[in-house]
Amino acid sequence: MRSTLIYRHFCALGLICMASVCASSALASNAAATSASPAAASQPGSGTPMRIDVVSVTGLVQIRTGDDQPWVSAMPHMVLSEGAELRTGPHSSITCVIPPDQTFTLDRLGTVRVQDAVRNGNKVKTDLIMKYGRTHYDIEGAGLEHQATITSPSSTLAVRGTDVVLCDQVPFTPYSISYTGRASFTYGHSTINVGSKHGSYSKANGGTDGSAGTGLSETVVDPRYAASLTASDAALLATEVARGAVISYNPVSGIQTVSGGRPSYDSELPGTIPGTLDFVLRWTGNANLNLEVGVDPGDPLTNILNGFQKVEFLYPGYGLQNSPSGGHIPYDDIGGPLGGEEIAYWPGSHPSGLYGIGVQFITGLPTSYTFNVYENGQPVEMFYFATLDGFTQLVKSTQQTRPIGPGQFAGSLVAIPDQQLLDLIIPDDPAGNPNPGINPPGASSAALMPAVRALAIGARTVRQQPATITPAARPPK
Amino acid sequence: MVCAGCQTAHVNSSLTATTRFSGNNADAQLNFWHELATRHLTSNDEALHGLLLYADGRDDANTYDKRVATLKSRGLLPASFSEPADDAIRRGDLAVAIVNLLEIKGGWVMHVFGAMPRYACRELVYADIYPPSSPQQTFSGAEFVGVIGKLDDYQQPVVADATAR
Repeated sequence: MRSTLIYRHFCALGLICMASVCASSALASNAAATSASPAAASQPGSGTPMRIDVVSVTGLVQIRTGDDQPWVSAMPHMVLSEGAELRTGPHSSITCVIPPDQTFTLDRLGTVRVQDAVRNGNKVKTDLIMKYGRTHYDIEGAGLEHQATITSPSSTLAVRGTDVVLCDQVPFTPYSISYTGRASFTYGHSTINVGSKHGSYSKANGGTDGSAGTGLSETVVDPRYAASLTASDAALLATEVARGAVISYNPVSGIQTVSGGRPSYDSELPGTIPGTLDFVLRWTGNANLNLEVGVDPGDPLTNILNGFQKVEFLYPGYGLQNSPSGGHIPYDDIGGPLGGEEIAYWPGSHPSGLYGIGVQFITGLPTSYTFNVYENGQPVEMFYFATLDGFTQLVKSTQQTRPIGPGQFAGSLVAIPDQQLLDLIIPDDPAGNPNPGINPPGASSAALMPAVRALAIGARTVRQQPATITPAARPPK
Repeated sequence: MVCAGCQTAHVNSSLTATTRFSGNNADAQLNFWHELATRHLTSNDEALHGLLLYADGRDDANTYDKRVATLKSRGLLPASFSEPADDAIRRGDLAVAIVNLLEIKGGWVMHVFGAMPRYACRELVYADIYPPSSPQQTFSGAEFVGVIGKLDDYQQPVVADATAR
């Protein structure tokens, strides 16, 4: 049985290599004479041709069913077949599904031809020829034996039950990415494996000896590059972009920067927090504020008695955006006319202990800032000093809003997990628990307060339940 | 001879001369990008047309002079820019327009002196939008299309990743 399996794998590998060579030859012919008919190079394999369903179109995308056919605008639900050619413009993409388990996406400024898409019994053969551009190919790989390649003028990616990307666009070196599984990447006269079975993100540039060589050559990880972002960071930045922010990269502080845009409103915030523990700083004025989070792991009550000891520290940039226990700040918001928002979060488990959340005024005009802390999607009480009955004393609130000006720093303490003893003995902030937050222009904060209070009361009720709140129980992002 | 050697190449037939490639409809735009990718050189006129298409999704300027005026009025091109339409685009000139478009602040030289071809080019190389280049080099059509693709990645990394996934 084992030898049979090995033999089948060996045969499949051989077929993939042969297909790669054939496809490379066909493409070389096309590259040599782009005006020549690619159809002449097309030799569809034997078997049943498979249908190709267009499932998503963004921006300017056109398709044609053959070289002698006119280009027409692509629309979702169109059905294509072998020989179809796709092309995209800037800011555009098209996603197609080859049932039952293959999906490919051609994004900005590329052109791809579906050279082969045939099924012969349990075997599926798919060849995409990409003149230039970037193609994402995902094969679920369950049940069928796949022999799939993406071929470009200078490289070939053999795909089998994996989730991969091939990008080939002059004047840049081609590269391939494997999100899961292993693919075979041929560039020049060398073939390397990208990724591993059940592996995670792996990237290989053409001309390197694989992912390790690529990783070494990219010792400075630039988060500007989309694929180096985690899904959580990508979602956060997508939200910022949707609000009109401009994404950039600060090579000095070594972190992605966001300018412009606006902070989340109170109603939006619970739906955008990405982690199991989230610290959010929002502000509304034209200023640049920075979020700081310190961690004193251990029992929160004991740590309060012993005094806060900063064991871990998070800050946007300068190598401090990641902490040993998994805390992360994805970007530095440098503000704009409508304010800004920064977030620190733990995507998985987070340490128990006493946390400090702070805001540092960097530049700009005096503004008000708002702190929020969420554990497993539920707001957590913050403890800070405020004037109550004519005395300055410790108060609590799940949302703290205060003014801040040049040269100032402000902070609060947070017990994780929430300590009911502290909640009982420390009074609410006289400005309200929660404090008024950030709401859309024109919306009366007084009108919104009942809803905010209800949210806070609901959160406290949930915290009093004995059942553990798992990350899966968090509200959808 | 030295002066002749330093001159940039000329592009004989610009794509923007025909309505098939210079219109604002989807067909003309895609024809322009994918025909340009087959050209040996990109002219100033083609590059500025492409830049306007990328930035605005359309180019309402019918002539090269209007394109230059439009880009100058938006601060993307320096006021001193006066290259002929049929000259091949210099990477430095295009770099100035791109750093202005992307609001790339650059290092101290660009902060002090503004975007200049030499430093704008170096900044784009650093940002991985340009390949290692000198500002005097030109772009082939395919290279220009590749750089525009990189602009997309730079400006919308999340969108690119989301669509790719």
